[in-house]
Amino acid sequence: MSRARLIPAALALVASFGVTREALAQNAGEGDPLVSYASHREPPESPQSVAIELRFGPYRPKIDEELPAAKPYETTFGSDARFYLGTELDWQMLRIPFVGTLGPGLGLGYTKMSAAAPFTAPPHAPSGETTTLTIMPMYAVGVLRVDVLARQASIPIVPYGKLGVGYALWWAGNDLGTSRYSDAAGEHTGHGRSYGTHLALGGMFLLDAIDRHASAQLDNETGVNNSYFFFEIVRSNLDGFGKGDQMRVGSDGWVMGLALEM
Amino acid sequence: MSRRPLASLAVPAALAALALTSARSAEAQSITVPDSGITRTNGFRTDLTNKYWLSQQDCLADDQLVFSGTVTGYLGSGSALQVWVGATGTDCRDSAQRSITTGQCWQVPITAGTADVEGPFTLQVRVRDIAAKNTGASTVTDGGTPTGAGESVAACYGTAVQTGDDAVSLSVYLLWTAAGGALPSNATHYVWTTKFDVHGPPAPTVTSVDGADTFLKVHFSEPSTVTDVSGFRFYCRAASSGVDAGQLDSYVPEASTPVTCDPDAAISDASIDGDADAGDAASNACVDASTDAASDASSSVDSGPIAGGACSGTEVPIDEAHLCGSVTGATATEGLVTGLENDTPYAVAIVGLDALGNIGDVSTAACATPAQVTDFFEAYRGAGGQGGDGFCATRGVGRRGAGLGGAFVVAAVALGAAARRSRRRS
Repeated sequence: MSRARLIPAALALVASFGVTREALAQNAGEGDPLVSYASHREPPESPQSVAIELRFGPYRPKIDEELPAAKPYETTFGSDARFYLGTELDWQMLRIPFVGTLGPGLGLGYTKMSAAAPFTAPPHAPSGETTTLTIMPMYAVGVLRVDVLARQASIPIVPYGKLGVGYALWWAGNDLGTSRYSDAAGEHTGHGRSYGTHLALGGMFLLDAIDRHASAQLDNETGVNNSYFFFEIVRSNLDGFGKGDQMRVGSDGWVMGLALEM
Repeated sequence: MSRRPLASLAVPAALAALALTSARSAEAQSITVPDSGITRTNGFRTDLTNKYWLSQQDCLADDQLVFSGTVTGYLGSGSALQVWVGATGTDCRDSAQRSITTGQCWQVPITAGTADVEGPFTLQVRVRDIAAKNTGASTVTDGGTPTGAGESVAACYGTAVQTGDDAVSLSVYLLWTAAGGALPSNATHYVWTTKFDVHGPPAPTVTSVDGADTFLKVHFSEPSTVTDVSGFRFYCRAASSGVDAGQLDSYVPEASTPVTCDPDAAISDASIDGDADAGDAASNACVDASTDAASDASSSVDSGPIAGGACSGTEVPIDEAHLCGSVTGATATEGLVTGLENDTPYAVAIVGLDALGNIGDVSTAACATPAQVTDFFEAYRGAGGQGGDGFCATRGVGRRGAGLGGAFVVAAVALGAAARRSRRRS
């Protein structure tokens, strides 16, 4: 199938899901007037003002972009991605009619790499010493969630975008503690911070669509209006806004997870 | 009064005197020692669970138990308190158990204080003498004075009282005896129960020793059946090459002669490889009771020469001068030996410690050489990287970075407060 036909087909598939869901609800209510009546009414929701995300995914810091010839990160830790775990809190400050919510968000994550440090002398065989790099990425972003499709058209997809500032703390260490390096300028300690831009685009799948009754019950009992599964493409450029004098511990990649609106 | 009346009074008077004496003999005897009446000359362990246990270190340090109490009951001239020890469950009041030929109890000499009259008493007995059963030379006879009491540190490593690694429950009897050490049928006694544990864990197995930058990483294992382990100690010695390849002489750097490390032949100090090698130096810490110098009596280190032959099962080859690291925890499988010299081979051996601090058997040694290592940060800075020097580096953009970090904290607090206010309002 060509790309020109692929997009309309995908949209039709998503739309049909909403139609099918309604049809199923109606069919399930046939013969039962109370069920049939309820399926046509949106249950009342509790107020919604925040979103919380639990995020995880691969993490490959872009450290070697600063030193493309030596590639100290890849030489030490290899090219495999490491596991990243994070969380985000968004305040849905504004509701834009027929669009969605807009507001600030803060994110915090953690990842760690370790490997056997090589001996300095050739052939640079792995030693018994473990070298580590720990990164705690954070970001402050503006978040726009376009939930009009989910709220008005019963299409359980919420695309969103995030744009803001990224900031990360990092530590480099070994078995004896924090790493150190001495040169003509003195001794340098192996921990620091990096900052730059943070951009993300993603889509959320509304899990409420799977069981609206359970979703309504969850809202009544806990105040959780909506729950989502999301997938996001992230671009984190922690290079000091282009100055390039920091360890570029940001990562470009994808993140997935669960989100709750309440 | 006529003589007949006086004579008639003599027998009753004699009978009365006899009755009085008998009554005095039949007076109830007792030995009372309050809880506060038991102390130790070297103090108690900080772990109150094992406060009264008798350990290898107690034995080596010549710790003494002090009993302070009160004894009542007259048994005639020559009465005295005796101290007997037996495994809990063995009644040392039974003369058969105190028999030199068949008994399971052994008498312990009182080293200070006396208890030969009624009233308050204080007496001291040596932990090492309690462990003297280990010598297998119990020469005590019924009512006799103990001789050949083991003051040698060898008693502290023996297997006569404690055959395995598990602690042995012992009962210390204070027996109030009549002249000659005879125990009257109504003898009273005091029993104090404690545990005796002078054996450490069995030798761990060194699985590998990996070189690193001025340190070694030691990987080891302890048999899963061993439960009484609280930690491990590492002992190491720099190997060197010299004129005699089998000896550890002072290091002679020879560019053409590679430095080797043979964990057995190259280490003359048996505290590392667990057996004596020919030409073992005088500093060999094998403790040989037969050649111990008097100064060794209270130390695990034997400064006297070894007559030759391997350390026997009663001798523990440990030289604290070679202690180079330790790790706590019964489940530890890895430890670091730090502060070493790069490019020098080292032989490393391990011992386990139990909850009482008893040092166990030494493992087979393994060799490794620390050498310079390039870790990630060194590789990064060495290649020209600019990052590092703290979270609040004071370079030109550093102040901006630090301000940004502070802004994040403020923003997080503000966002959380605003979201909370919004939910409250709705």
